[in-house]
Amino acid sequence: MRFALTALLCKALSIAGKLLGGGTDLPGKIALKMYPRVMKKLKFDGKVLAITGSNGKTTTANIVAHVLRENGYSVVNNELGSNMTSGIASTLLCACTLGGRIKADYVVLEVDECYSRFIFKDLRIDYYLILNLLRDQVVRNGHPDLVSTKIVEAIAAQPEMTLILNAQEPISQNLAGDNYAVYFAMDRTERSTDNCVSGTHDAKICPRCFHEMKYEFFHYNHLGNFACTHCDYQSFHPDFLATDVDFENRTITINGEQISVTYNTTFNMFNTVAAAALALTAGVSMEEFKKGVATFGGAKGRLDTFDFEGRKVTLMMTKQNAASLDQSISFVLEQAGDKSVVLFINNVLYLDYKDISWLYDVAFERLHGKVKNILCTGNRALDAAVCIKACDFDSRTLHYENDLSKIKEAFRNTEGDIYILAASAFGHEGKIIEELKK
Amino acid sequence: MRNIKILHIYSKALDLYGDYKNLTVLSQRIRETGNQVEIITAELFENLEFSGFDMVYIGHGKVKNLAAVAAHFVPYADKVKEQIENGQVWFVTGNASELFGQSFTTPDGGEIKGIGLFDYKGVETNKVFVSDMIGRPVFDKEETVYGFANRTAYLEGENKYPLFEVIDGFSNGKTPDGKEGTLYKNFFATWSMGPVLSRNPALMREILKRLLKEDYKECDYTLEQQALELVLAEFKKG
Ligand SMILES: [Zn+2]
Repeated sequence: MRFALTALLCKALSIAGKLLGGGTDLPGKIALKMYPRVMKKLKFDGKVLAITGSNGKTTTANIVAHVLRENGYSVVNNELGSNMTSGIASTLLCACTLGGRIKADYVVLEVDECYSRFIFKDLRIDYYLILNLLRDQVVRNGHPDLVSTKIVEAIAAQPEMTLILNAQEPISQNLAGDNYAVYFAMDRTERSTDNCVSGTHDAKICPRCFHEMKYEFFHYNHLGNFACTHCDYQSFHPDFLATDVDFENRTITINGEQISVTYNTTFNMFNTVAAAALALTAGVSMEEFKKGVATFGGAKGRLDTFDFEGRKVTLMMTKQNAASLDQSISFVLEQAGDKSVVLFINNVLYLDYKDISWLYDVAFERLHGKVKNILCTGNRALDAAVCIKACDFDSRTLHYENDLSKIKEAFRNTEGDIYILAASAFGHEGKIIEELKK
Repeated sequence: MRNIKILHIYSKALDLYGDYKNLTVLSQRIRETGNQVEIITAELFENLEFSGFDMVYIGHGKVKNLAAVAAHFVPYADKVKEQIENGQVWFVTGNASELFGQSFTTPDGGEIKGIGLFDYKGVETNKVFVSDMIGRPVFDKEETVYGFANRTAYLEGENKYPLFEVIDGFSNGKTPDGKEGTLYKNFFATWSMGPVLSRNPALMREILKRLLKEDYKECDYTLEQQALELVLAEFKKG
């Protein structure tokens, strides 16, 4: 009775929320207040898949959900950004019967790294994909060790769960414990590097013995084939291996099967291997995976283009963390033509801390000689400029303007196509666009 | 002209949040004054030799790594203390301060010895504590600095040699006592993580003066000072 009432209220609030344009978290939050262990009552007819990691979890969860739906499976999944306990409660309570049954063939949950331990206490999870652990938004999560401790707690709550782990990421590869695990990896690509080109490298030393870690190559950040110089810890033999990554023709071969995809970034190619490892382990056939991934619509809402006085402007949303901004820089470097980068850097959102230390971890040095100008804007524009200056950019290249009402003039003083990298702007980037259109 | 030699110890084990850029900007400023600079790194399990260096730097790191570092560093306690007592410049950020106290606790409840230069003890909380800080450096109380901490530990015990008088924000301890960091002879330490030297011209100048002595020259800090003033203005607005 208590369950039925809670679920009913959650469903009603969710419908009301959709009509009023409210958040997806609130109904779940209220439901959990009314009945804290409500998720313990849920029963699943199908398989439950959870996906976490510092980078790529939204895209990967979307690929998996898309593949399943394309093949006629019924799927319940959580929407973008509602990956904490209350968002997951909202998703599941809206999808279940009043008796607590979820009839879908698959439940696909994108789960926040730090919240999985709360969620896994009450929910049965069958498959858990951990993409990677990188230093994330400093204020929210702290460093990867803290996060991995929390994930270990989550895994301990589900001894029957199968893990899908990254054999090219030393921190998360190490997390299996007594659980059954399968591993995925991607062979060297034409974009792989011998040295780490990202500003952040979170596993310079071995997580087991603290001696230096050596890498055969890097995909991005510290992701690549690794081996400890002292103990026997190294990249495990992968159960799912991607080879022949062809960015131009948008194909990737996984365990010998060539697969067509709809994107051409290193990150999404890697996400595809992870998605395949999860889907295939959870009972999807290779044929089904190939069919589904071929029509994937991509990670929506992160990229927007418009015209400013005859120049092409691309707006890219990034997170307030170095890995995310490094990825955006990689994207900019892959584009042809003269270009300038606009950095929209603000206080740590919601909390208003004036910290920008994460920006110092970004490898801006990669832009040397590749961009005409770097324009810093946002309320931390000058601090960002100090950071860029520290990367040896001179005053001809480096511009800054913290007054958004003067942003049009500042844009005119740059050359080429413009790439705005807006870090966790949460709609504030709209002010720039508004000014440009005046 | 001087050739300043800086030893960066545990650069691979203690490397969080852009702290190493402190050395990048310090090197840029040393060159700007017409002097030369050389940075040598020494890692865990390597032999440490402090003599012959003008400065030693240690950054903020992961908690597990700090414990591994302590086991390697503490046997050098006497040599480290001797260098610091003799006026070698040290710059230490974040949780690396814990190495210099009596001891510090670990996430699993263990206790690890420090080198015992100071009386304080590090206490691990397993919880992320985040705070801004503005304060006045003890060497020049006309100046104001900005710092940012993101830590899971704090220092317990009286802060006898603070680096900053805190106006607003975090201290060394669990509860604010108006004192942050350490300045003892030429040993500087602060919980401010990230590029604290880049963002605070006053602290940069002081370290440069102590390193370069009669070869010290003033640099152009216009942009850095403007950026800092904007941060401070936001605190005044509240
Ligand atoms: Zn090892």
